[in-house]
Amino acid sequence: MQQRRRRRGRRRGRRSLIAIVSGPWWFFLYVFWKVVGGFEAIGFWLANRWRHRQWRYLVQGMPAMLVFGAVGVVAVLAHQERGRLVDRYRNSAWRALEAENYPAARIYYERLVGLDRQSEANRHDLAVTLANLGHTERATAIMENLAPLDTTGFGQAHLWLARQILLESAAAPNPSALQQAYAHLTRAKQRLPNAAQVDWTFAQFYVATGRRDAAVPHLEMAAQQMPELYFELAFLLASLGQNEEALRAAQRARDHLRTRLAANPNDDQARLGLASVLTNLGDFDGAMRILSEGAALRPDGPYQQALAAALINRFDQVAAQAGQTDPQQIELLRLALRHDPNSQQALLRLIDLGQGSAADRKQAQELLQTLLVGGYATPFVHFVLGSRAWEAEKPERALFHLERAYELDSALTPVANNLAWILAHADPPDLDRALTIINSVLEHSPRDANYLDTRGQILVKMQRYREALDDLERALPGLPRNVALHEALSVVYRNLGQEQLAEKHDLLAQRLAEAQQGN
Amino acid sequence: MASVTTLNTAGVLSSDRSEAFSRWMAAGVAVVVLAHLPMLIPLAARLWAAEHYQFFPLLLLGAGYLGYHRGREADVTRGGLWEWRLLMASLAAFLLASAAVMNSTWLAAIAVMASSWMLLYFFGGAGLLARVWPAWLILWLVVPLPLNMDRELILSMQHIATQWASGVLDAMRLRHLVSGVVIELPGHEFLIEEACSGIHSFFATMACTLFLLVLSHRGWFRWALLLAAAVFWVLVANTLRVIAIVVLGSRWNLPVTEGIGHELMGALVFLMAIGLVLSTDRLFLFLLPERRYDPLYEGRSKGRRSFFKRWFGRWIGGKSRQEAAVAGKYESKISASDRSTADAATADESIRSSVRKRRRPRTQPARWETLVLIVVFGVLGVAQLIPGALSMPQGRTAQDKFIEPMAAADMPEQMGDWRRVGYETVIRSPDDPQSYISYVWTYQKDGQRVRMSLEGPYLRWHNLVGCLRGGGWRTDQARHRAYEEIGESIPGGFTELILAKELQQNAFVIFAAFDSEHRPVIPTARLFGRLAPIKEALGRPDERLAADDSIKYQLVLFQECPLPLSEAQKDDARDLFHQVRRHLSGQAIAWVEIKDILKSVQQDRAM
Repeated sequence: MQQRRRRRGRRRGRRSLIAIVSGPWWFFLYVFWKVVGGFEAIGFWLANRWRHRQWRYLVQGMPAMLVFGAVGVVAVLAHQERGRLVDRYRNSAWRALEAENYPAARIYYERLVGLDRQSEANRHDLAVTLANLGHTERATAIMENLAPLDTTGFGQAHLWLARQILLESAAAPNPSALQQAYAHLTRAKQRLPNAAQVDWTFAQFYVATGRRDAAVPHLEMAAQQMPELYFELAFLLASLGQNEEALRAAQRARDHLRTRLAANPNDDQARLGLASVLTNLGDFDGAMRILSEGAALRPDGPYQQALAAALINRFDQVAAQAGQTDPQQIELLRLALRHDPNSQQALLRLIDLGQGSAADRKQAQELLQTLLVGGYATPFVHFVLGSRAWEAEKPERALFHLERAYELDSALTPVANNLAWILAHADPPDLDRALTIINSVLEHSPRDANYLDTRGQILVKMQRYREALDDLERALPGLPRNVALHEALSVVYRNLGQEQLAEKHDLLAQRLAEAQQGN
Repeated sequence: MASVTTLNTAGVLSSDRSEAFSRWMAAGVAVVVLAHLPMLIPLAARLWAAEHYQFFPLLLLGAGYLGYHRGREADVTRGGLWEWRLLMASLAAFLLASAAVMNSTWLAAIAVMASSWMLLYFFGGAGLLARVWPAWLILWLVVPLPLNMDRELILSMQHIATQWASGVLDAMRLRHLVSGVVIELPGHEFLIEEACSGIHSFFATMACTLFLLVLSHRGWFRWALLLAAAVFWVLVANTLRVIAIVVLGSRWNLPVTEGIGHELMGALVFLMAIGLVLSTDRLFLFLLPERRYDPLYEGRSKGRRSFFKRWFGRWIGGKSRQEAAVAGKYESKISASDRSTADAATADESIRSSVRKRRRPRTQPARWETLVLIVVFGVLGVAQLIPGALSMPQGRTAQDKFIEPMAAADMPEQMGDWRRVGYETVIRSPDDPQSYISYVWTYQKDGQRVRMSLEGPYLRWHNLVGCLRGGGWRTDQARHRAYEEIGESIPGGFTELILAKELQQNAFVIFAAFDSEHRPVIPTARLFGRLAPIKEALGRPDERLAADDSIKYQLVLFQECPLPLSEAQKDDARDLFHQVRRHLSGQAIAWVEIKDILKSVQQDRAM
């Protein structure tokens, strides 16, 4: 009995042990069997279905499969490309900005800013691009967002804002705006302590606020990194009376520009800058030589005009030193016109030239006629000849030349105005023609007081007093001290029965004439 | 009702159709159809006005053919439950009445669908419904999406097409900028208009796909797969179209953005989408072949797996071709052995299922039921024809005409401190989401520049948020305000929006809608505006508000600024908006007075 009990107990124990150990296993096996059974069912079902598949469906389904595959490939490529977009757009934007292709640069920067919102540099460059496209408001708003006035933001933005303020203040000085510019510059200096641009802008600020002496150290620091600024420094020092330092600065500018030019003879900016420096250093021949070399290297470059400008500059120096007309002056003008026959500055100087001796006048006249025969600046030459003839009291000749000038270039409104005046005051006067000409001038410039005065005078001569009154009264605010205008108004009011007003204008004309004679 | 039942060669109980459908039933159908006509005509006009719904005549023909083809073999003797008939008829009548009272073409469409379902069950019973419901389902494509959801769908599709195209253009290294639904390249700008959104091909492709699914007896799983595939292919095809237009237009300056080139691209896109849908269907057929009756397989599949397999198989494969043949199709395509096996199996199955399923007796509609139907719908139909019985009272409907053409001089050169500096007229396509016509005046003051525009015509208040989103604007704040808040005694209101774009681009917009007699509209966003006509029908309508069915225009002020506008700037803009509104209102009032005078003169002459 005991043995049986023991066996039962052992069996029970064994069963318990088996149950304990294998119970969970049975459960897992059961679940596994069910899962496998499920998969088997699906597989069985699929296999049964696939027995009835038709290969023609695969052929017909190929287009969808291929297009789906292509879409998948494109999607993967597009996804991969997204990781490189920022760099690619930055490169494209930079290249566009360098090439000054601002419309394209705007598109790329806008996209770049959308892709990389954190980058201040991208937003700054976008603002610069927008400013170049004329969207100044938005550019300023972006910069102000990057560089608030009350905190230190992006250095380049502070610098840009300071420059903008200085630019606007140049036209209309505004003390509070200049204070803001100073604040921006201070913050820019904190962020960009070694940037030459900051010092250069500081110097500009001090010059704008009339503190030239404070500008000098900043300009000196800027010039160390930007040697082309030595030229500006020379001007500044010269204006402060520090001539020796100015000379030294000019020499350093000269040396720097020479080095640059030696490295790249086609550097127009360096060559023109060097010519300016040499001119200011009194080395006129050196400047001419530099510019002549440039003209030889690049005949279609800006050097002919630069040579003419240098010669005119020299002419002014000589004219200031000489008390009377010097043959050298004519030669200088002749050379200037040879380099740039269309130089209006040279032609204008020709008008006043030769007021002295008959030989000088004749020489100037020949020079002008040579230009006319050569077909250079013909309308303007006619204008100059006509003006000179009028001053020489040769109205027929003046009329001829001015008419030619106006016929060749109707935009020469001063010419037309003079022509109309002459026609109205000729003997006999051609008032209708004069009125036609001055009407066409007023179509271009309807508010010009001089032209209104001319027409008013012509209408007075035509005895159309009511119309003349309109023009003369509109011209009056612009020419309050014109004696002829007041005399004409007096005539008009008298003819319109306004005696009192006529007398007042008479009195004014008299007083003004006396004052001008006294002067 | 007497009916003759026979056992036909397919072993199915059928009826003698000529006696099953009596004259009373025919009258009932005719009355129900006629009752819907007054609402169907404006519905058809509305569908025709929207270019993406212009396929509806073809769809109606197709659904009609499908329904007729499938309905021929239906067992109409099965009848239905009278409770269901009553319930459906009540619902259909209620919907039709609501549509007439609220003058809603959308509700009219829902009423038509409910009535058609009701008629199918009423006179054909469950048997006819079981056969014809796919054709009925296809008709839902003609029901316009409610609450301007089709506009939202257009905008969403425009955005999807734009974003996908942008991704591909980046992969092609074509640098560009996306702003809303505008793709900008150096020297070129492409607006992804409604036509390029794919909305036209979307509805047409979905209709064709549904036809394919119904005709080919696919199962529910294939329905879901193929419809999803159709949506995908429409988006892909349209994205390809956008990419092609951008590349061809920017690189070779080909005229693909408008005219015949644009139309050809659209046709190609549609054909491509349809082709890919068909190809996808064949691919699915290869990967998941249709179920065929296999006795060996059926035998082995009994037991605990049989239910799962049968359910799963039916769900995937739909009806087997043999079962479809038993239902009256494809008999010629099945072998004789299959047929005999199938006939016996299916007949046995149908008897067992009918015994199993029938719990209550189904009946044909009694004469009194048909009579009630005729009376109810007859009254509804007649009521719609009597002016004022259901619709708005006479005299409130404004002239059905957009405002007179405007010119620069219609706005004063000086409006307070604002000076007019520009004017232009913009004419777009008639179903452009923004507007058909825009008259735009530009005003300037102290460096601020504002665009005042008059846009339309619209049928109702037009929410500008979607159009502005298409231009890349994000709405930071939207507020409806009543005119009474600003001290005016007129009803209605206007909406103010504060918008922003990427990086220092902000805008302030004010807009309000009016009819051509300058009566204001209450701004509505969604459903609640529709309650106004009900209130008007029940109580005294507000004569000062625009009629619900009148043509409307919208006055819009748009001011863009790099910085967020200050309150002072907003007040300036509000002043200008209300000055312009009052100016136009004055003109409109003068026009109405002139018309009244002319009318009285004509009457005097007649006397």
